[in-house]
Amino acid sequence: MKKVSVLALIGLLLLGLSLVGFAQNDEDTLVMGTTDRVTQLSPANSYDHYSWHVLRMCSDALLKIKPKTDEVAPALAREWEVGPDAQVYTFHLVEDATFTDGEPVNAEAVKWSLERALRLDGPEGGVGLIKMIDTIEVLDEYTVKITLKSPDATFLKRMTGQIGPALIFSPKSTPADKFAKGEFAGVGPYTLKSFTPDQSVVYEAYEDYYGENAKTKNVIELKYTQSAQLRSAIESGNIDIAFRTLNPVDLVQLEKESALKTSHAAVSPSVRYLLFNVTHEQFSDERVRKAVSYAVNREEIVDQVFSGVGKPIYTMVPEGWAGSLPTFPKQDVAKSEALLESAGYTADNPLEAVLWFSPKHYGTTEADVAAVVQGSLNSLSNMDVTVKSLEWGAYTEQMSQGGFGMFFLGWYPDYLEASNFIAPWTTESPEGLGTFFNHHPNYDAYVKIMDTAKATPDIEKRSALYESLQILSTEDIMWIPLWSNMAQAYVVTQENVMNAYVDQTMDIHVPMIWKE
Amino acid sequence: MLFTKKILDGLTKLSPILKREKLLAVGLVVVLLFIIVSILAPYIAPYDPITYRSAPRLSPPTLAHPMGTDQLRRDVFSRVLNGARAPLVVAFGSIALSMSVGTILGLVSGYVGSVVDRLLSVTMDALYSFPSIILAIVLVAVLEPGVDTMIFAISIVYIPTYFRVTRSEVLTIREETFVEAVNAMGASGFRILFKHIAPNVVNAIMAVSSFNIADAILTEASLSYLGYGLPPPTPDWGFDIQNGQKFLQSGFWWLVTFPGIMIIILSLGFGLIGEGVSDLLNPKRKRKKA
Amino acid sequence: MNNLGAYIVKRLATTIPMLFVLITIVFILLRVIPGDPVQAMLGGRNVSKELIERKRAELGFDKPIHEQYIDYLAGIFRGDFGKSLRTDKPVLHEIFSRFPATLELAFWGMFIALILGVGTGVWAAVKSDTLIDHGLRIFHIGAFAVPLFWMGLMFQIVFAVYLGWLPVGNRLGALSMAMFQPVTKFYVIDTIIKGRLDLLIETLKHLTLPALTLGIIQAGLLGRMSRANMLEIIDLDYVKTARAKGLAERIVVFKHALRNAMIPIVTVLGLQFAILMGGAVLTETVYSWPGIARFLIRSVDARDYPAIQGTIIFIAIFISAINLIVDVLYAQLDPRVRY
Repeated sequence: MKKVSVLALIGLLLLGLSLVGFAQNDEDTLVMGTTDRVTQLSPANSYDHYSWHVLRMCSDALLKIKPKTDEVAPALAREWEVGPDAQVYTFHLVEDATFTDGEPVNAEAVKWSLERALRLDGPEGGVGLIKMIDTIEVLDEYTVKITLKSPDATFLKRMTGQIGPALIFSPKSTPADKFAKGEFAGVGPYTLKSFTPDQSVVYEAYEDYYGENAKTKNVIELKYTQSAQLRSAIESGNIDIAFRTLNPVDLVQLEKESALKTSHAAVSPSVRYLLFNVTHEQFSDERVRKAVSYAVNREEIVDQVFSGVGKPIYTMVPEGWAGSLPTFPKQDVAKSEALLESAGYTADNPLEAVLWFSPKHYGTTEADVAAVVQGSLNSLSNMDVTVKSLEWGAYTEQMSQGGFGMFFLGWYPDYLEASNFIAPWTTESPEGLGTFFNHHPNYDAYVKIMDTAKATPDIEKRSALYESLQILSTEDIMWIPLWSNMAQAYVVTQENVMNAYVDQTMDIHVPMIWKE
Repeated sequence: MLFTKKILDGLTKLSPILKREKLLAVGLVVVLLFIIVSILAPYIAPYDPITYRSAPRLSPPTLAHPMGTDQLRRDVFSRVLNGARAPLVVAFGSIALSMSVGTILGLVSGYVGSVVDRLLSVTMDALYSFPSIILAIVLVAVLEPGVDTMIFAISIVYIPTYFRVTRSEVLTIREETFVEAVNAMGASGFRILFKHIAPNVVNAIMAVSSFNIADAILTEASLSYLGYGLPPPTPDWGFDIQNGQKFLQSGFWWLVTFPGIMIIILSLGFGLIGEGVSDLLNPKRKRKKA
Repeated sequence: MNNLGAYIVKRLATTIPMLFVLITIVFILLRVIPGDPVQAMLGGRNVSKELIERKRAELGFDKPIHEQYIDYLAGIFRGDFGKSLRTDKPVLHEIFSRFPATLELAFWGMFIALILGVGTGVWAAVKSDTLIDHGLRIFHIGAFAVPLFWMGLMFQIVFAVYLGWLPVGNRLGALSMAMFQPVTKFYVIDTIIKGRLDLLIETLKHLTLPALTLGIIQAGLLGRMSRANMLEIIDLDYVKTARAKGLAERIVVFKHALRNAMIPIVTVLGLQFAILMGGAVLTETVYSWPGIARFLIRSVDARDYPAIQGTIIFIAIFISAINLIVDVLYAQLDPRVRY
């Protein structure tokens, strides 16, 4: 209660100061603004960036991604061993960690927490990402052994804090048989003080945290409804940090014209691409798909639709990640026309095709993207493309029924490994995601290579396999990588905010941020 | 033949009226101008509203691009000219549809009475009392976007208005003797309905409809602003305003301003016609101070 | 009084079938179209078809439509509007937590509309056929012709972005919003109850532009109507008599004419409120106002059936109630009316 009133006082103070237009100087409180929305604070039933961000502030997993890299680093597990076939994993836990409710973090708690997620497996959640777990054994107080149903070398990445269901929560304070919905005790740098849907999340540093303590004691995250308001808030000094998501044009202006600090991750794993249904009557012809891959103008999309806040991409796997190999060709209109001609399309008998998009799901820019791509394709003498749109629910339904030949989709990774940018459309959900690649003659080859990769613990060997698939994909063309969204990878802060950056995880590391 | 004569008669009668009713005259000029523009837009617009994409990006108004350019390097002026068609077609279409459906239902309901009347009245009251734009949003959002969907959704909003006006007129006229007289002569019910009652209703409807068209134009713009309009990249003022909104804070004011002004002028035009017609039908509204 | 009771019962008897019709229309509409909420929620993800089917079954969407309809009606009858699929909370809870925002906005919008509309309407009538009258009539028609969302955007750009006088978005600054514990959720009242002058000022600052936008549009309609009514009344004998008796023009206008001219205005207030609720959809969207209209829009986009249905029924009930109150009020004001 006391803390709440202190916070309220601070709030008042901040408000008073902000009204006269100064940035607040309270070093103990960090105020972040975002337009992201918490769907549900349930580790077993939420599956979005911001909900997981909040959960991650409040708890750790066995492992974490080392900041600014894509390497796995110790968290609740100080050491681990991987069995030779990538099927058995043994984790040795830190011995001095306690949950915020006072419970010790031990092997039993880890087993309980992971099994709870597997058991609840909410339909809106991401538990599927750790479902390869077969058994969890407690070897001693601080050692757990996890055996998988089949070999999976990506498993360590799936045990990091990047994956919501992998976060460890206390058996004492977290409901065993229903979704947590904010009711939990974790073992993270912060504890959750309050959560008001669509308004705010308030945290306080957890002083008995086993790791390095948070640099700033109080953190308030405020929800703004639109980029415009978020921008006003950071410009007027009402907030210290603006993160996810300012409009590209706003970012460009802030970067150019204001004294605020702007930085962004080198690459963004938020990728956008065209997909083909490889069984579609027009697009089952490889030459047609290939022609499209030579015809698209990626720079035009990035520059015009996103004011330059984005990057053209030539492979699905984010540049710089282990196993990423840019394999797709640059625009070559002559080649494109020639390919179409070899498929029987001429200026008098052009390919009349439909390009599908969904106007709201990916923000209001989608129609513009469709217009630009349509423009590139129609600049070919032997192609005549019309754009059509469907609302998201109907769109995905049509897509998964094979109704679209050529259509847009977007991807955001579940875990930081190249396979997550290859498997979904080829081997994992070819029908759900509309490519119907399981009917393609090379499907079995993809499955075989993916299975081999899964059973290969060595990252370099695994990467070579991923690279081979990316080369293959330029021949089979079930997708055309187009661009990566960078707006979500930007963070804008006041001048006195230190160490705020976005890395591969696409998140900022709030516990490491302080104000001067 | 009779009809053409009527129109000619109307036209000759119209000019002195227009001299007296300046609001009506101005309104008619504005609306006619927009109709002409919307028809000729593909020929008079300097560029293609969709495929021309070679202007400088986000340029403020210049001589070459009098309303500036947008983020896809399109000419805003050309889009604005071509954007007149969608609201006009949708507004006229929906009012025509709701007028015919509403009037017919009103005639039937008023003339037949009893259970039919009750049922129709309840349904119409339900529609009438409900915020029209909300109903239209739900309708448009669940159906596939397109001109016909918009016309259908917006027409539902106005059907009750015409129903009510017609029904109450019918109830009044029904009591009057001439219907009874015709009845005694043995004309069929249906003939009575359309030949004798319908013309009496026309006056009442005319006054309502131009206001409704003005309103329908705003409704169309609102729907497309909210993203429920014609599928982009079809030029449509409401959608173009939504598109320009994200650039507004950065100072690119022309994307939002010009389509908005067009909506105002067009809707104002119909509003003035409505005002003028009301003045004509009800001279009391305009009186010299005693 | 007996008469009044009977009248209310009679009105309710017509209101309930109306609501029933509305519910049915919305229910059918939402089921006949492709793309259900589960598809909108899980589609495009790397999930199995079984998972989608499982979720569908869990929500009862795999049942035949008539069963869903019966379930739904039964739910409403029990006062259970179901759970929002998007927020996973009871729809009624979502509505009640947002409705005060809408009502507060609508109230102040109506307030501005009445002051501005009736004021200019009467003024125009008194000065009829002068330049002032023409100017005000143009304002009335003009206000009616401006798209609400566009006016909202223009206000924002002028008053918030360029001049920096007023904030835009939400009911308070985000930080104050997070810190302030509302009681009634009507922020003007709450900030006064809690003695927070600073927050009251902040509340009013946030309220000004949305209420003004909503009010001006309505003012056009009310203004036209007030002018027309006023003109008729001024022509009536007793006003003429009053004038002839040499009463000051101001007294004639306000005491005699205005009071009588206002009676018909009351009848349209209920309808005005319905229009106001429609306007709230756009106002709440443009100003990011956290009311039920914006909730409805977001529910529509997410195909959140229970939320859409619940919100529409709620709005319908609310408007019916307002209409009933207005009618009763009108009857009390005007002795000529019989129930």
